[in-house]
Parts: sequence; structure tokens; C-alpha cells
Amino acid sequence: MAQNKGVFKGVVTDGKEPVIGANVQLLLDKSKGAATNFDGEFAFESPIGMQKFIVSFIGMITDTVEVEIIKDMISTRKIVLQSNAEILQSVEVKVGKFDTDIKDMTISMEVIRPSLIENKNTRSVETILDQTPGLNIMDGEPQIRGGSGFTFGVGSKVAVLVDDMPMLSGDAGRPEWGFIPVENIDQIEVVKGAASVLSGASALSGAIHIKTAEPGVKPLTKVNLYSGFYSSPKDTAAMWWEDYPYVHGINFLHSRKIKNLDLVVGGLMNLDHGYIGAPKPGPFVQDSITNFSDDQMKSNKGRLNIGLRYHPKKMERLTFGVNANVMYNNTNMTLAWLDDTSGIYRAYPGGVILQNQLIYNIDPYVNYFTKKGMKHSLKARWLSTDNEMSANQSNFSDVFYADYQFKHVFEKVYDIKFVAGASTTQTNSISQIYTGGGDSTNSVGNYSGYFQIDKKLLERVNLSFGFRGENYILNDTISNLATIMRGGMNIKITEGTNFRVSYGQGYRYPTIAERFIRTRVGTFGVFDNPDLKPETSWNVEAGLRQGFKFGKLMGYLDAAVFKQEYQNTIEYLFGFWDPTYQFAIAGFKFLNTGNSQVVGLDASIAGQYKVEKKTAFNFIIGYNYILPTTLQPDEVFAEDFKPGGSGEFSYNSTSLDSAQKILKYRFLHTFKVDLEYVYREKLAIGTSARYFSKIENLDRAIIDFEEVTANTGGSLQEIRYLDYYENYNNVNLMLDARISYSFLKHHKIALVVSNLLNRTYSLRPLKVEPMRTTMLQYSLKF
Amino acid sequence: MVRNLLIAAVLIQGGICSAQQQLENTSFENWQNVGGPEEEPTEWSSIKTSDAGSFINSSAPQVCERSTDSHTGSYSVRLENKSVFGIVATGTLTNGRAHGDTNPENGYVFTDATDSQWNTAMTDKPDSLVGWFKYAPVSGDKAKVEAIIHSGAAQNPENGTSGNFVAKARFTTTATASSWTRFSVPFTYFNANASTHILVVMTAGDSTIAKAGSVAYFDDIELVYNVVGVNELDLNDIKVFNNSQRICVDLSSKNSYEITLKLFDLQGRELLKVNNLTKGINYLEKPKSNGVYLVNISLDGKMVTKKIVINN
Repeated sequence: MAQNKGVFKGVVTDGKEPVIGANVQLLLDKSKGAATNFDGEFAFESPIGMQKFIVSFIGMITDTVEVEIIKDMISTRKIVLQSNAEILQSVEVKVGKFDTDIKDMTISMEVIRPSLIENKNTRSVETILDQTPGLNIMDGEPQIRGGSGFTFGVGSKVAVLVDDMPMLSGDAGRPEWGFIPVENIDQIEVVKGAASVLSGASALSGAIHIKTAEPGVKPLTKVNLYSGFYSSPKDTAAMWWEDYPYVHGINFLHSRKIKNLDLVVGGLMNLDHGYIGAPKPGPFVQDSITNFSDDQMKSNKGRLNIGLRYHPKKMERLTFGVNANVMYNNTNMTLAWLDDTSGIYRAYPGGVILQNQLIYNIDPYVNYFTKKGMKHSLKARWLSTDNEMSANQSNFSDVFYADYQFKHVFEKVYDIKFVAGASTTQTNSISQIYTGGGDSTNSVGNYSGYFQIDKKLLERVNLSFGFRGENYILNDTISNLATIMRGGMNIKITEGTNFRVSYGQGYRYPTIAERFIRTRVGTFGVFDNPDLKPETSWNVEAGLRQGFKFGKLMGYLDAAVFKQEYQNTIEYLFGFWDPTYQFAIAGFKFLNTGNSQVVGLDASIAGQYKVEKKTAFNFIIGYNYILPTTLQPDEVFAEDFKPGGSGEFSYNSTSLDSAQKILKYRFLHTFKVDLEYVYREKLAIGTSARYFSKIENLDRAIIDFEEVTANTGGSLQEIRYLDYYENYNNVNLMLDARISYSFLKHHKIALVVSNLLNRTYSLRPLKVEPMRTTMLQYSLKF
Repeated sequence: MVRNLLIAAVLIQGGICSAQQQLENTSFENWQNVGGPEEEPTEWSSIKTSDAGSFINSSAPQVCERSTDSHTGSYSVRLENKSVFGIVATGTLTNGRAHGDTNPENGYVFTDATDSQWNTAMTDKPDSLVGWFKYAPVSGDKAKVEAIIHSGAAQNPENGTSGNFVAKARFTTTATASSWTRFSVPFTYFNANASTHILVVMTAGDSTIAKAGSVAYFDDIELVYNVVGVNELDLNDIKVFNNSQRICVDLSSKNSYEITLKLFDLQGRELLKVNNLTKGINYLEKPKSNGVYLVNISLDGKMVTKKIVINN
């Protein structure tokens, strides 16, 4: 084996000076590489043949060089990196099936860099995602381009993947945000539009890819300590605590190479007083289920992750490793507020669940490169979730995922990039709340095969086509087959101007929870619907990406118009679903509600105004407009067993305002802005703003809930939302601010304030978002 | 003397001199759980104390409330039909117990013969059911008062229990009554069987087709006895008044029967007794001293007492 190697040697400069500490990595196998020394020099062994190397350094444009490595010879190159003048135009996409510059992609994508994650003292990844144009996080539930409403986090219509493997809870399809190692994120990529070919099932309206960092050539240690507090709400009557409303935490990361072993260790401890207090119901409410103390509402979380990668010396084409992550988290899930005034920061009796969660994943993987440059990779994940919940809502699930992938550039066959793979997912769930199938044990098996080919024509046109076949087997009996395709084209019109069109399909198989949940909390139940059909979607869009540079101002502008259509959309609706009224009088059920569409546009502009070397003004501004409408307003999709004549369920009959045919729980206009001023790379001042227009339409059942609870004379806590919705929830404009100062090279101290104006605001009905939080952060990085 | 005082007291209070069984707390002066969702007149029950269990009871609307708009005394009962997820829960009050159900068609009131909290004993045979009401119906709705004298267990609607029924009295109205209005309905006896209990229900709406928003007030519900006891005459039919010289008893609306009139003072002394009054206006001599006097008229086995004030 050793004889098939040569050496790649060279020097990296910025045109004048040597670049110290730049990474040079083999494209096919990024574990192979070196860092430049004080003179900008590097040298390392490489497999022979035409090889591509990635050369990167912070503040410089990443470059890819192609070098022929000859057996037992030294190939030498001088590499000149350009400064980051146009860095925002050339974000390298890392998680997609190919390493492609974002401007050449055929789909719409937003990229979040780790610097923003650190600067905002992100404690859980969903809070940073909410800053992404076109992506809203509604009480933990991701919405991309208005492609979903609100279903209490169950059955996410956006795929969430960590290192290209799914990270949704197996039984309920709920994103486990807190589990994602936020201290160790290399990059986040948000794909907008149906993306099931590449991202697998549940990418009905888009996908969020999170790539964790790999060890660089140099050891890296990061420690981040923070401490902060919640402000008193503006309405002091709503203030419920008497103790100090703390948030404390620490996270750390250490990565290094030890000979042929790469090691990453990271972790987090977070202690959170919380901003929502225990229920304090009225004097006549009997609450034996959620009579918690305020102390019980506090959250504690600990997480530890480790990554090991080994590349044996004698088999340099082989790398293998394992990543593991474990978290213990005790927290609460609050479904509704106590009331819309002084109880807005408290939970509704019966409407909060305490959760003790133990969750871990173990991901082994093997990569092998053939002599001809083909890449074979086999990766697997075991994700286990054990949720011990109050009110008999406990659940346990295991997800086993495995994916084999083959990737090659067929230079002799028209230079076609080809990727193909096969994956399988086996989900096993045990819970007394998923008994609608007759048993507390349920399983879903998935087998899928996929391929994608990319072809570049005339150096200007990128063509892409992908196909995926899926087969689902539910509890070993019910089988569903589906095929999904996508296609796209990107044309470089001029240097800096790219036009793209794409079409993609989405497919989402209902989760075990949506089909088989059968539970009761308090007065109302949640009913099973074993006949639930899979949701499907398609997305067509056209976009333009324009880079610009006017003197010291540079950046890009991206705009896309899109149309999506959804079939069999699953919503969560209240009705009388039990003809005997024995299990529960009434309650919620997941239902296929027919067809809908979303048309809209996305526009974002991002860039930098460079005042002088090391002093710059950075900006990211995004606007998203959607018009989400039903295509079947009168279609009766369900009938319940309402006493004295069944109720017919249609869009019209279940909508609070059906006049404009607007779908429920959608923001038609959203603005996201992030501005940052960096002075001499030492002082940074930043601010973020998020604007959400009023939600146009809600479930009509909210009227009934208010009336019924108000009529009980106090034996049920009064549910209060509509008055708030009409009078106080017209628009939401949120401001965050941050200031940081770096000193002595490795140290940084920062003050981060979220919800600067301390507004009391709500995005999804009956749930208030946090009041102002002020956080002091100290970071050590070396 | 003591005995006479007692008689007078009884006469003043109800105009009824009787040892017969009555309903309890019929003027709705005594209340339980005031201010709470289970606010109910003592000895009466509405739908939040039904037998359906805490889930249905806690989500059931509060349809019964204490009202200070009373016919006599301080309070009356206010019943309102209220909607629950589009299903109307009828404003209901019973001396038995409500059976709550999601489906109004399955709801009823019943006598729980095994638990005195949910029943009222009745072995007598009252002649009629009287009381006072106000009613603000949503158009087309119907308020109801119904009493069933029965043995053992009974439900209303009867649902297989009618074999135990002995007698029934039923009053309904669809008209708006914005001031206190009297109702009086006779019991219809189905058989001569012995009874054990009486089951009374008052509603603000027409059972399964009740309309949300109809409001009814009830006060001073009474059972009236005849023949063996002393039953009440319809006060509206007999007018007693005095002019400067005489007491006038107007029996214009009555056919001539054996009418007996007695005049008492407040010490219970019989001052005057006249047999065989005739149809039309009868004149009696006034007492000499000023004060309040009681005129007791017996007719066809029934009796009524009216107060007159003499001021010479």
C-alpha cells in the first residue's frame, strides 16, 4: 500500500506574506492534511493520482487546488489565498451530497456560520435558527416558507439532520434541539423547499443540516462560561418568582489529532430557572395532575459528546470512527398559559408536562476511497430517547439508521458527478400513550435508495437530477411505497450573477405518535388515527443570486419566487372523536386535511462594508412573503361524533377566519435582520431584529374553548386567547443586542441581551416567549 | 292563646294550614357554595353536581346561579341555557339529581332513592304545583316545571321508569315574562298507588332543543293540597277590599257554592263567620278597631286567606 503515495508540499501566501496556520486538506478525505508553519509551508503524504486539496484560513477565501501526486515523488505548489473580500459569496456547502459553492447550487439555501452562534451565546440551536430568513421556529417547531402550521412539535415537516443523519425523535418526529452539540457546530445549512431526495423523509417543506466540527490540524480548546437572568415582565402583576431568575452554564470543546487518531470532546451544563411558572389555578379548579411547585419547573441539562476518528497508517484510504453524544435533561413542556394577563408567564392547569429525558446517540462510520477516487461510506446511528413524563405520558424509542453511499466523478463519462446510496431506518417505540394500534409497542421500518447526478455544461450551467424510492413498513404489516424526484439548473449569467430553477418533491410518512397516540390529560383526550395517509408536496422555484462590490461595500443579494403544493396535509384538530364518549368526551386528533398551496418570495441581502483592515460592518437582511391558501376550502375531510348530529370538518368550518382562505398559524410577512460592527477585530457590537406579521387564521376551536371554560363558573380554568390575539398580538418586532470585547488574544467577554425591549410577545397561540434575558459570557479559545 | 298565635303565624306565612309534606327550600333563600361553580340552592341540584363524575362535571357549564331578583325574600334561582362546543346544556334545577352526559339526549334528572341527599320524600297526594317565574327565552325556546310523584326510582325523561309514576304536574311557557308571574298546574294522578318520593325539575329550555341564552327565574314553589287538607283558592278569583263602611268580598267570578267566610284578628280570634255567601259582591261589617285582619274564605274544600287593613 505504502508505495502508492506521494508527497504534497507547498507554501501558502496572501500574495505578499506567508499565511501561518492555514489548513491544507485532501478533498476526498479531509482527515489527511497539514497546517502551514511560520513560513507558510506545509507537506504531507497523499494518495497518488489527480487530487484536489482544500486550502482554507479564517478571513480568506477557501481555495481548491488540483495537483497530480506521483508515486514516491514530491509535488510542489505555491498557493495564494485571496482575502475575504468576497467571502460571503463563496460559502462552501459542506453537508450536501457534493461540495459545491452555494452560488452554483440549484436550490435555495441559507448558511449560518459558527461565529454567529457563538456571538449570540446560543444555548440551544433553535434560537439561532430563528434568525434565518424563511425559517421560523414556533415554540420549537420549524416552519420553512409557511409549509407547516402548528402541531405541538409532533411530526416535523422540516427534516433535521446532524452530520447527514436524522435527528428527530423516533416516535413523534420531534426535533431534539437541546441535544444538538451547539458548542461544536461547524456550519448550519437550511434548505428551503421540498428536499426529500437528498434529505430523506420529512423534508416536506425543507431541511436543516447541521454539520459538527472535525478536528483541525491544530489542537483547539474552547471554554465558554455564561451567567444571566430573566428580567421582570413589563406587567409586574405577571411576575411570579421571588428567587433569582438565573441562567448559568458552561460549555467546552477540545479537539486534537493524536498521531492517527482524531479526537473531539465537548459538553455542556445548563441550569435554567425558566420563565414559565407552575400552574396557579383558580380556587374551584381541581388539579391533581399538574399541581407542581415553581421549583419543579426549573430545568437542568447536562450533555457530553465525544468523537473519535482513526486513519490507519498502513491503509490510508480507510478512515473509521465513532461519534457519541449523551444528554440528561429535566425540563417541562408547557402547552398553554394560565391566562392572558397576570398569568401569562404561568402554565395552564393540566397543560404542562414535566419531562426527565435521557437521550443518546452512537454513530459509527467507515469511509473508503478507491484508487480511482471513488468514495464509499457507511455510516450508522443509534438514537435512543427515554422520556419519563408526568401524567403518564412517558415514552421510549430507539431509532437505528444506516446509510451506505457511493460518490464518484466519472471523468470519462462526460464528467458526471454521481452519488448513490441506500439507507434504512428502524424505529421501535414503547409507550402507553401510543396504544391506538392495539399495543404499546410499535415499529416503523424504512428502506430507501437514492441517486443524484450533477453535470456542468460549458463552465456555466450546472444541471442536477435526483431520485429516491422509499418503502415504509408499519408494525410489520402496512407497507407504503413512494418515489420522489428533483431536478434543477443553475446558470452563471455573468461572473457574480447566477440564475437557478428547481423542482423538488417531498414525502412524509406519519409518525407513530400521529397514528397511534391515544391518551388523556385532564378532561380532554388525544385520539388515534391509524388511517392517516402520508403527506406529499412539491416545490418549484426560480432564484437569482447576485454578488456585488461597490468600493468597500460587498456582498450578495439572493431572491427567489416559489410555489409549493401540499397534499393530505396533517393537522391537529379538536372534535368528538369517540362515539361512546367513554375514553374522553372530546379531544384532539391528527387528520389529513386536504390540499393547500404556498406561493411567495424570499429575498436576502448580506455583505460587509469594510471601513479599514480589521474594521468592518456586517449585515444580513432577509424578507419572506408567503401567501398560504387552501385549495379545498369546502372539502369535508372528517366527521366527528358531535352529540345531536355529527360535525363536519372542512377548512371553512375549522377556521377562525376563512374569508381569505389563508392557512392557520402562518406569518405572511417576516423580516430578519442582523447587523454587526467589528472594530479592529476586538470590539464587536451587534443587533438582531425579527419581525412577524399577525397570524391571520387560527383553529376555530379556540372560540369554543374560551366559551366552555368561561361557562364552567370556575371549575375549569378559563382559557383566554382571543382578546390577546385581537388587541395585543398584531405584529411582533423583537430586538436583540450584543457587545463583545476580545483581549489578550485568547479571551473574549460579551454581554448578550435577547428581547432588548422586554416585550411580552407570543408567536403561537397560548404560549408566551421569553422576556428580556441578559447574559454575561466569557470565552477562552486557544 | 299560644295555639291561636300559631294558627295566625301559619296563616300569615303561606295562607296554607297544613301538615302535609312540602318541598324543601322552595323560596330559594338558602344556598350552598355561593360564588363557586357549584352554587346551588340547599336541597336542590343542578348539572355541576351530576352523577357523571368529575371530568364531565368540571367541564359542564354553570347554569344555576343565585339571583337577588326575587319574588319574596332575598333570592330566587336563575337558570340559563349555555353552549358547550356547540351543544346546549339546559339550565336545570332539580330536587333529585342530574345525570350529566355529553349528549343532551342522554341527560335526565332522577330520584336516587338510596341517598337522601338526592331525593325528597312524598307519601301524600298534593293537588297542584304552584310558583312564580320570570322568563327571557331565545325565540322558540320553552321553560318548564315538572313534578313527578312516584315510588322507588324514577327518571325524567321517564326512560323505563314510568311504571313507578303515580302523578305528574307539568307547566311550560314560551312567552317572555319580564315581571314575576304565577303558575299553577294540577297533578294528574295515573293510579292510586302509594308513593315514596317526588321529583321536581325546572328548566330554562326545551330539553334537547334548548337554545343557548334563554334565562328563567323561579321562586316560591309550592305544593297545594285539597280535600283532606286545606287547599288554596286562586287569589285572583276572589277580591277582598274595604270601603269606608264595609268589607267587600267580590265573588263575581265564582259560581255560588258553599262559601264560608271567617274574619280573624291577628291574635287568632274569630270575629265573624258567615256561611253561604253568594255570587257577586258580599258586604260585611267592619271591625271597630283599626288594624290588620285576616279574611279566611273556604270554598269547595279549598281555602284562601287574605289580609286587609282597617283604618276607620
